[in-house]
Amino acid sequence: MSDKVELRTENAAEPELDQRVQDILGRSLKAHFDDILAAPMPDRFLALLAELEVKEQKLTKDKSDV
Amino acid sequence: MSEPDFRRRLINELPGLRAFAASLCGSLTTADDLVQDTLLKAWSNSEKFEAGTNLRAWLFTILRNTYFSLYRKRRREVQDTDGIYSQRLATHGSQDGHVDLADFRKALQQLPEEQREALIMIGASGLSYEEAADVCGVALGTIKSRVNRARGKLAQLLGIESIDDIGPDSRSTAAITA
Repeated sequence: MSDKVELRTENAAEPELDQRVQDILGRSLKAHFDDILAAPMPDRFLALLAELEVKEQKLTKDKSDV
Repeated sequence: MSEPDFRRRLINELPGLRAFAASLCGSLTTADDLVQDTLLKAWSNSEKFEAGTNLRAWLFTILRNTYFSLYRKRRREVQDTDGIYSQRLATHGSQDGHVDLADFRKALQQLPEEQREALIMIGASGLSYEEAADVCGVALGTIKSRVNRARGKLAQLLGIESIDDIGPDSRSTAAITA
C-alpha cells in the first residue's frame, strides 16, 4: 500500500514550468555555478594530493627495497 | 591507473567537485572541508575505481555520501544562511536574463537537499539522468521528479512561477529580463 503511494508520488507528472521560466532558472543556475568555478582554488587540495602521491611512492619504493 | 595519472584526473575534477559541494552545503568553507574529505577517501579507495568508468560520478558518490553521513548534522547546528559564499558578493543584477545571484542562492538553499542535489547534478554538473540516479541510488523517475520539483519550488520562491510574473512592464523587466 505504502509502496504504491510512494510510486504514485515519485512518478506523478509534475506540471511543466513555462519554457521561458525554465530558461531563466537555467541561466541563474549557470551564473551561480560559474561564479563558484571562478573562485580561486585553495592550495590545500593540490598540497594534499601531492603529499598523498609522495607517501604512496615512498611506500612502493620501501617495499621494493626489501 | 598510475598514481600520477589518478592525481591528474582528480585535479581536473576539483573545480566541479567544489562547486557541487558548495551548492549542496550552502557554504564555500564547509564545501572545502567536504572536498578535502572526499579526496582523502577517493585516494585511499583508488583501487576500487575501475579505470575507464565515470570518475566524476564516482567522486560525486563519495562526496554526497560523506555529506549525508557527516556534514548534514553539522549544518543543522550551524545555520549558515548568511554566510553563503559571503566572500562571493552578488554583483551582477539581472541584465542577462537571470535572477539576482544572492536571491537565487537563498532560494537554492531552501530546497530540500535531495531536490537541490538532483538539480545541480543535472542542471550544472553535467551528469546525465542515469548517472545522477546511480549517484543518488534511486530510480530514474525519482531523479526526474526531484529535478522538476526543484525547478517548481525555485520558481515559486523567486516569484517567477508563470510568465505573467515576468511581464513586459518596466518594473519586472528591470528585475528579470527574459
